[in-house]
Amino acid sequence: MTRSLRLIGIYAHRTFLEWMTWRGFLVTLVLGQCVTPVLGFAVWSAALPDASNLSTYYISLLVVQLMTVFQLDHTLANPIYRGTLSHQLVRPHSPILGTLGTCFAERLWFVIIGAPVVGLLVFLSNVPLVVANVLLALPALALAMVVRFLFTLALALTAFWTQQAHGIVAFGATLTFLIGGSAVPILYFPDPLRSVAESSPFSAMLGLPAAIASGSLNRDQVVMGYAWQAVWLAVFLIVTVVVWRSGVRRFTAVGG
Amino acid sequence: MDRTIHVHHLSMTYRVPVRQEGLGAALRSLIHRSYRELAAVDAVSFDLFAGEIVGFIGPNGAGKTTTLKMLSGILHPTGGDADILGFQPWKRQPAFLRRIAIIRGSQPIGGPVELTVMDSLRLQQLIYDVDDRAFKRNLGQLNAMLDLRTLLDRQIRALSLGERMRCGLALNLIYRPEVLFLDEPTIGMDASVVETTRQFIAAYCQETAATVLLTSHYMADVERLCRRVILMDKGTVRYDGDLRTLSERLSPYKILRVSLVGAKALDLSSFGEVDEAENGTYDIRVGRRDVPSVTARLLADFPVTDLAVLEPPLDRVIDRAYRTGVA
Amino acid sequence: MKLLRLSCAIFAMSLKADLAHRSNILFQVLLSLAAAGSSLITVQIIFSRTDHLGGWTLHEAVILFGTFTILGGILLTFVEPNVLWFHQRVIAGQLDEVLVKPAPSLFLLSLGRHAPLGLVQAVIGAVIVAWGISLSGDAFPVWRGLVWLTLLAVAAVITWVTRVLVALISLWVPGLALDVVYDGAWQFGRYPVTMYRQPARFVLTWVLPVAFITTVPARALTRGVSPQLLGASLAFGFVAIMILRLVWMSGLRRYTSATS
Repeated sequence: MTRSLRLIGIYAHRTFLEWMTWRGFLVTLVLGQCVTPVLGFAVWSAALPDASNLSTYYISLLVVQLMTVFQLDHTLANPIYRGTLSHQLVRPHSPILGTLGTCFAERLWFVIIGAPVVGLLVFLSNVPLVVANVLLALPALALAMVVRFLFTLALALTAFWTQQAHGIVAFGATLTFLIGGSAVPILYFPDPLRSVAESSPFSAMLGLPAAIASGSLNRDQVVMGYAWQAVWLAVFLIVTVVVWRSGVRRFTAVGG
Repeated sequence: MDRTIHVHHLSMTYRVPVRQEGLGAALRSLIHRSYRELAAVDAVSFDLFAGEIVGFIGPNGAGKTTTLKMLSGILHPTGGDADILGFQPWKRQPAFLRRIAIIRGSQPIGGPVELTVMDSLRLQQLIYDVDDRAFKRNLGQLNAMLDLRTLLDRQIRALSLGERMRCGLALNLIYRPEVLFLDEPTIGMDASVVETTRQFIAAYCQETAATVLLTSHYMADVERLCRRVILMDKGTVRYDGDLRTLSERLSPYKILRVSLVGAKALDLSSFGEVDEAENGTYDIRVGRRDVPSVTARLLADFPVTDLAVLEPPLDRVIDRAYRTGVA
Repeated sequence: MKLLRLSCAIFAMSLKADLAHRSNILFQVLLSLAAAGSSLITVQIIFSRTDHLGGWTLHEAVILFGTFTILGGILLTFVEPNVLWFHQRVIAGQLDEVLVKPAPSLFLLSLGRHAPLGLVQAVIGAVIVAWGISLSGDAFPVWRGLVWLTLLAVAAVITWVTRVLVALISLWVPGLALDVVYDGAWQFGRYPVTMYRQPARFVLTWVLPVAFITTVPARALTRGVSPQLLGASLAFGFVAIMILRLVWMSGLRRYTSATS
């Protein structure tokens, strides 16, 4: 266990330094991730000019988006297509460690670049932040990160079978944007749709932490949200492990 | 003979930013950048005549590729002039571009890779305004020389390196360019493909009387295809003329290959440097002028069964010249 | 004329190549349908809470979204395959092959490759526009449709120009890839530009002209357009082409004097 953690740390460190060369590109990636929350905010403040805590919700959502998005279609699917994943397969440990390390490096970069952006927005919009709500949202944010990682990983792993992994991951991102609370805050969904959206994995990956942080949910809703996160975590964990195993088996059988 | 390429004092100078070490210098360079002029090609002149295949050789960084790029219109020179078929290359007039081709072994095929080879050929036909009769005739000939039949309906992305080169040649020759720039045409190929590529280039040039300027790091390419070479080093032409003469000039020695009776090792170093020795056969490096006297002494003193006087292998001569500098 | 023949040939050949992979087509259709469908649901939800979005009614917003989808399809089909990760092609020296061909380099560079499957999205966009028209229940005069088509063509030109300009930046700043930024800015075209506050609205009209790309054509179809605005749009498209030509010529000078 400690050996695995140490290896993840080494990979993360190495990837972090490697990406130093691409920092300009990383800035554009972070800016690109800011677009959908900004767009959602623009739409809803135009549609409902007197809605309360819309800006708190969308700034929280921006933070969640920056913390949970993983570019696994590039960092994992591309190595599969190019066959360079085999470099990892010949090492005496699970290749998932390299992927995890890359994801930590990616997260660190996003935090470094994203923090000033978020800070500026908080400063400019002068949003009321309730510390208790933010604290309550932190575990949900961590869970959302894990769930979305597993979800994106499962989609990116389709690269073992098809050439369309980029499209599939992009499609997953589109669904997350539309149903997860970015295009439409889940509270604004009309009724039958709303309960579907609330229990969907997309809310667990994106909207829930933002809704908690902005104080839009009552106690029961918060508890239900956490429960659904736990359910989706378990489901995606099983799915991803199965997909990963059969994918690697296929990769080694076909030879990449 | 018609002169197809006339190059006069062609030069390409890059401005490269320079910076001294240290933080102070780094900050100073933000305000005032200092540059150094770097002459990649320095007042190069030569002429090529119709139907000639000329080897364009020299060590890495000698300025060969830069010269080729200027002559094909990709780069604008910083000085000098060139006239190819009556055009100035870097004006990139369509009438000029239709008559030349540049083929790079490292990237034989540009353009979309999803298309089939036949579609790509058709596209070339449109871009280069080749009429249908000429297209069919040229394709037939290329087909015979390059054996394209099995490749025509395949996607370019799925071709192997050797197949790519064959298609790259076909795509660039389907419009019958009169001037060809070949940049490392055999790079990365396996031995059998190298030989067929060389054969093809020779056959094509004989057939069409195209003028060819060929760069290669494989002296075998040059030896096989070119009688004349232009040797560049550090941006200037160091030699322009017959390949044999160059070899003689660069290596003032010949190789005496002697076979002796009995396999036991003998010390022949008094005659000259012994390059190789195996199974009673020795290669002795002997100055050109000393060949008759050394031969006589060898025959007198040793039980010689066979003796031959050889030119030193060209690639070694050239390699040596590259490393020690071209005189 | 030669360019038109070339375009047709490239399109036909690429289409043939695309059709060879049936599963890709099916995948593209499903993906485009799902994306468009869920976006439409979003629009519906917004209008279940309000009657107007930046002064636009539901059917108008649907027509706008349809227009946006059509242009997205055009971008995907004709422009993106040429300029995606353009900076890598510059670094790899792959511009050379374009320069040695006897056809306009800007054309070969920015319109020389097509991805016909992207048109699936454009077709879906057209269906959405038709649906928006039927939602309104009004009769649309033919001339408005013609003006819409004209402005759509202008919008396609502006799309091409802006996308290629963004790619050409890497000729001056090697390694700077703004593909992701353009993608993000493009998304702002989903909604009427009147919805955004200043200074965002100004930026989206004149700097990243998504207003001319989606808002103006959609407005022309829903409420008609003044001759002045039509003229201004045409002028804007023309100026855009001129700017692109100038930038390309200067970028080309830079490339031909600086590559190694």
